[in-house]
This record gives sequence, C-alpha cells and structure tokens, in this order.
Amino acid sequence: MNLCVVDTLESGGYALPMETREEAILVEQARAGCEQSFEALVRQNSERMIQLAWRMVNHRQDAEEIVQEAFLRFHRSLDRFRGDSLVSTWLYRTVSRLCIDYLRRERIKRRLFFFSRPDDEFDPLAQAPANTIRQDDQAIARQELVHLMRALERLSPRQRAVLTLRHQEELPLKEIAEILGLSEGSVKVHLHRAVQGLRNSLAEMENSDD
Amino acid sequence: MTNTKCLSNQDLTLYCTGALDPDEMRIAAEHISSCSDCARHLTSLRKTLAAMPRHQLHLSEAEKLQFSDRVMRKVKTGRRGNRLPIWATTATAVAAGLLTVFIYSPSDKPSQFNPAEVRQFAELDLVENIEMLEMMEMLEMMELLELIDDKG
Repeated sequence: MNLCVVDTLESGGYALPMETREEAILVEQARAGCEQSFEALVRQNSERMIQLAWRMVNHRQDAEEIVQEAFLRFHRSLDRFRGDSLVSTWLYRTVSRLCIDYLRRERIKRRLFFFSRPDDEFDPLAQAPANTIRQDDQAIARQELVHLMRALERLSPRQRAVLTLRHQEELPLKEIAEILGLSEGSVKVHLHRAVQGLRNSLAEMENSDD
Repeated sequence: MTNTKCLSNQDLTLYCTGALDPDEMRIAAEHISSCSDCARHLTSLRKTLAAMPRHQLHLSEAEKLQFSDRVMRKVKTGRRGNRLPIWATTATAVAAGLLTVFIYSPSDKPSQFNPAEVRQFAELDLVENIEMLEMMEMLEMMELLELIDDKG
C-alpha cells in the first residue's frame, strides 16, 4: 500500500478552514501521484456532482457518465489546479458545462433524427431508487412529469442550466454567472426566458390534452 | 421598481425564484400584496416551478465506492494510454498510414501470401504468353511433318 506523505502546504494554507485545509492536502497528495487521495476527493464530491448532473440532464446513467468525465478532466488538470477555488467549485463549473454540451448534442440528435427518449425514460420516479425521491415529488402525476420533461427539452441548454442552478441548486445569480461564464444580466434574461418557456409549453400541452 | 407600478414579467420571474436583491424583493412583495394582476401572474409562475422535480440523491458508502472505483479504473487506463510520447504516437500513425497505402494501392505484383491471387495471376501470365505457345505448337507440327517426309 502506498502511503502519501505531504508535510508542507503552500503559504497561507493553515489559515484556511479545516475542511478546505484537508482538501488542499488531498489535492497536493493527488498531484504527487497518490491514488488514494484522488479517490478520496472523488468520494467526497461524487454525490453532489451526480445530483447536479441528474437535475440538469434528467437521466441518471448519463449523469454518472458526465461526472466521471469531469473527474477525469480534474485528474488531468491537477498540475494546473492552483487551489484558488474549492475542488467542488471547479467540478461544479466543469459538470455544468459538460451538461450543456450533452444537452446541445441531444437537441441536435432530436432535430436531425426526430430522436426522443421513450416516455418511460423520462420518469424520474422510475429511474431512481424509491428512497431518493421526496414525498412531494411522488405526489406529482406521471403524465404531468412527462409534460414537464418535454417542456424542459424545449428550453435551450443554457436556459435549462440556469434554471437548474437557480431553482434546484439555489445558487446566487453571481455564482451562476461565474460557473457558466456569463454576465449577471444574461443569467437574469436566461432565467426569465426559461421560466416563461416552461410555462408556455406546459400551458400548450395542457390545452392539447383537453 | 416602485410599489405602485406593476412588476415586469422578468422581475416577477426573478421574484418567484428569489433572485432579486433583498430591497427589490421587499418592494416587489409590497406591490404584489396590493395588485391582483401581479399576484395572479405570480401564482401561475409558482405553479410552473413547483412542477419541477428536485431529484435528491443519497448515495450509500458502497455506491460511492463503486463510482470511485469506476473513475479510478478510467484514470489508470488513461494514464497508461498517455505514456506513449508524442513522437512515438506520430511515428505509429505514419507507419499505419503507409501500411494502409501499401496494402490498398494497385500493384503489378500479386501478393505472395494469397494462393488464389497467385493462381489467378499465373493464369493471366499464361494468357499473355499465348502467342509463344502457338509458335511452339507450330514448330512441333513442322518437326512432325519433317519426320513424315523423312519416312515418306
């Protein structure tokens, strides 16, 4: 078993909070080639990142693939990771951007090949273990969920990302702007268009059902 | 934004998602409490957003371990793959390209390793030398005629 020993930190390291300090040590050890330290970083961040990707792309398996790719990119970037931000912030940004790329590809596929997931795959209740779904989510009728997923598909990938980051991840606009590389004003516009688009699509679908 | 003027659609959306500044949130709330139009619009927006599911993920330690194992396997595979220096990768690519050109380019010489092709090209060779065969047959016939004459 390889033991990873790093007894020095960059200047100012010990002024950081305990969790940040531990993370900085793990990053330093991972950079030195310690696999266990990198694995520890993966375990610490995997749940939150998979949840983020799942909320954005609405497909659990694809979400895991996206997060896996984000961790691989993080591993390749270890030498350049200066520790100015938390690992979770770096991952949040990478996962969000990978999700946007994924949504763009899915959108192109749908346009070119009239490709669409079967309705069963839309159903988050069917995809997730029962204990991972909140009680109020379970109360939503399946048909409404299918409508909602279709309405979300109509949003642009960026609108969808902004909506997820604000409404579901509850991040401040400033942070969303940093993650997506946009101005705060653009984030406001995307958020507004996302909610309006969602509302119009849902109203349209409800009317077509009547 | 004043508490007498109706909120724009965008401000209502931002209010609904809690994305306005604290002061703007307070002013908007005061207005909405006294404006039935804005209140109705807000109810509709809230209904839309309430429909969005919030997936809550709780991975067990075993699931986290399983996921990290998958990532680490990929990390190790990637690292092995990256051990080849750039010049070696380039050389391999050039060699592969040359090999492809060599295999698929039209050649006068048949392959030595394909018996069917060897047979086919041998037959072709015979066809090209058919004139010589005819001449040899003629010579043989002339020799026969000379023998008959000699005996005759």
